[in-house]
Amino acid sequence: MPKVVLERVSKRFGRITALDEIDLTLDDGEYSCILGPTGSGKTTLLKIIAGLVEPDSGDVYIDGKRVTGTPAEKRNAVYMHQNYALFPHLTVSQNISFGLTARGFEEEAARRKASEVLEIVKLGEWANAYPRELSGGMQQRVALARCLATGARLLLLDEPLGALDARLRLEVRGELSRIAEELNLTVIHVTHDQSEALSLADRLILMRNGRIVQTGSPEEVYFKPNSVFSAYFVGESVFLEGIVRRVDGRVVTLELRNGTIIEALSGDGFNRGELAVAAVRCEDIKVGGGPLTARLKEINFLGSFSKLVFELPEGLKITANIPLSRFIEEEFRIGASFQLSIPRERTRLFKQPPMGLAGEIEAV
Amino acid sequence: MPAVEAEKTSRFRGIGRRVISRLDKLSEEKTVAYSLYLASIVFFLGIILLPSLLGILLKLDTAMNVVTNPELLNRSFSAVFSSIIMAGIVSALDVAAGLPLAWIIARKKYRWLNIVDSLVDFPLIVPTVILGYSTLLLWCEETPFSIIGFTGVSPGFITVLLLHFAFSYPVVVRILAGKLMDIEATYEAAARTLGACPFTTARTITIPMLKSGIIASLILSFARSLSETGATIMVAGSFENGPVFIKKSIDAGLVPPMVFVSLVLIVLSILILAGLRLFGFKFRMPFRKAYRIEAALSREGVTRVRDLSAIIIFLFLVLLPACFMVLARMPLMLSYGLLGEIFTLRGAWSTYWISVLNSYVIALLTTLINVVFSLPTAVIITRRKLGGLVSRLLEALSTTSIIMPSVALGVSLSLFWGASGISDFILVLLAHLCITYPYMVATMVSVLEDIPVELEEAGRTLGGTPFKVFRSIVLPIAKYSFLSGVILTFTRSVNETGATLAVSKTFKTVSVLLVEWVKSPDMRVEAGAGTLVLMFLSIILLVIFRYIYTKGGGGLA
Repeated sequence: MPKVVLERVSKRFGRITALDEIDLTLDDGEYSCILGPTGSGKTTLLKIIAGLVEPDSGDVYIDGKRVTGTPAEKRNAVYMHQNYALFPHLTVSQNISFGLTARGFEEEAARRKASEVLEIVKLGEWANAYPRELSGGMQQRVALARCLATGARLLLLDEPLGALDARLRLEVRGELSRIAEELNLTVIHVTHDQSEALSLADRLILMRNGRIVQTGSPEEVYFKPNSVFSAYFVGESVFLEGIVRRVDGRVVTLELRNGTIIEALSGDGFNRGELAVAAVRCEDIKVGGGPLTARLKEINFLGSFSKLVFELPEGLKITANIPLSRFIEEEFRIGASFQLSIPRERTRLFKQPPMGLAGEIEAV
Repeated sequence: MPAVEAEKTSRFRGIGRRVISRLDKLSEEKTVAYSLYLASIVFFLGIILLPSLLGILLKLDTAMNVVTNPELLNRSFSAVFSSIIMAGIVSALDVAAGLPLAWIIARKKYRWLNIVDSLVDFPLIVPTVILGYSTLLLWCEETPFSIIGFTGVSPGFITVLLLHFAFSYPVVVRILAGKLMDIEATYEAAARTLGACPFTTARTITIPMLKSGIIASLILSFARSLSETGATIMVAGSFENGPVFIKKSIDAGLVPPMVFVSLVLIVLSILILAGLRLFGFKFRMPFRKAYRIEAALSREGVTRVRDLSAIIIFLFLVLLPACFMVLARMPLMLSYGLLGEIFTLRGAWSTYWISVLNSYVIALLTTLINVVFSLPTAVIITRRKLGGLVSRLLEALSTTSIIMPSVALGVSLSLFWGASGISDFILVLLAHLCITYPYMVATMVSVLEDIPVELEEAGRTLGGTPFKVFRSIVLPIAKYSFLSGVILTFTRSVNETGATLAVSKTFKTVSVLLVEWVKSPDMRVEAGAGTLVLMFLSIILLVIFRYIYTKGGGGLA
């Protein structure tokens, strides 16, 4: 059973460090999502596992066997390219048979197996069509079927849903997790779409600049981001910079730039006078009743919830997400004053990043 | 199918399958891949590059004889100058006249276009020397068909120009039409709906996108004009360019002028071609505005005149010379009953058929060897297997022999290999390898560049070995451009004369034989008949190629 282990894997392309000493263990049957901004090294990591790129240093183990240097075709790990890379001169059925004939199947047996797999992805009647005759969603399913047909238990998906429209993406997402579960596959799925990662992953791996920032279950990463970047990239947060004014056990008091005082709980040792960044999820900010007075500047209606942008004195902005029920009940008028509160048990406090808050979240 | 035969076929299949699976196994080994790369580089350096240059470079000291002789020096420089001027004019005319025809082929949808499309390749299967003789007959001599040609021209600058135009034009049209087809019509549609007339669209959108094709065309026709020897001598009259001068001095037994002129030509043309590559890509046509005259030029009447003149130029200046010799000799051939005699294998015709066999054996070997060695080279170049520097260097160097006058190349090779005492057959083979290698590498590089890397990657992670991926993905997708490379190499080899003559006096290919016949007054009608047969053979062979290739490609996948 495929268990994937990476040990101190590094890769440079010229002057760019794509991966910097990555250590990672992925369990058998686990659905992992590698999440990160463009250029964070996700695809390189996936290609190194697939054997399409060799690391400069470090080792890759699949199933306990060291596979560094083993050619791609020997790894029993199928890589699915984000444009699917369907072979344009072969029919759907021939595309799917490719991996089977490559593994020594007779043509007839390969074709039979291909039609079986085509049934799994519900494209039985398209066996003799050419890729260009299929819609984007169908092509995606053919590409998936082609991977599944090989019988490989390790599936490496590079932005598999990136080329689909929003509605289809949701549909295929469900399909993917169903198939992975049914066939007990180990899947490594690269994406830059956080909702995709949150909904699919057993384990989420957040990457940035060739390093792993945080790994854990989606809930862990969502509720306990370990850095400003984590809080920024997964979920939606308001970031507030300030100076630590008081430390009382776990309760830290922060004074914001405009003099506003907020409190947060933190296990880390903060000292008085230190710069810190507080991160609060937009949905955790309470509108109505609280110590902060703010003026409503902007309303974004998004269906199931709405985004309200408030302004504190001196231009400090806070965005709060409120559910639809609340939005219907109350009247929100632009320009009106509201009382806000930031619950201290839902506020996470981080040390000031070396490049400053803007450097941390704008360099993404 | 009888049982025995079926068994035989299946046994064949079995062997074939075992060979393929063996190759599959082999291709998995990294050492195999790297030894292939190494072998192809060794082949390139040891068989192609160094022998073509070293033969000349070893005699470098003798070049001083030319420098110290003012009269010889003068003649040498004027020959080089003529070559460069001629090549410049020819390549400019080629692009100017080739672009409209390429445009018609790529963009219009007339039914008769298919015929024009296939006729464009026709001059390629006529040996260049025959084209030369044909040019002479058409423009300079009294024939039963003189009415078609203009008989008042005397051999010289104009006839050389007409000849060079005729043999380089088909390749230029091919390149430009191919590139034009790659440029999606959506860009033109966008420009048109934004309000640009067809001519403005062509000037500001399509032609700038076509730049790489235009530069490639200029380089190729320039190099071809610079290096062609056999036919040029035939139509040169008193005109003397580099290759003519070299041939004359070799015939007079003089090596130093050949060394000197070859070197100057090589150095100059490397500079010119490098300049073309460098500045050609940087050059941008000013956009300015849509000129009023462009709207006028886009009018239907005007475009019709343009299309018509493009086709007339092709018919009269390219196609007619290509088949004129056969045409002009036809009445005599028929009255002598020559066409029946050809197949009797008697007298001169036995020599003829042997030379045909020679040519085809050489061409086949040349093509095979070049495919085997230029493919890994192309992989190194396009996939940067040995780093970017090696890629760039290899790509630049691999085109060097394209600019060498074929006679000079031949002499250099015989100087290099001469002492080793290898047979004339091998010498001719080596010469043909050198001459066709650049074409083959260039074709393979463009083939590989057009195939998205992700298709190969997909094939690999699905479990395909490198060899399996190559034969069932890369080859089928690229098969037409691959085929055209093979055909180009094969026909170039069959039609080559300059270098073949220079390396061997005894081993005769059919083109060399035809040159001899054309030169001797009492064999000229036979030369016509021989050319006719050769043309037929070439057409049949091309059809067979295409058949085997499409069949074979399907079976292998």
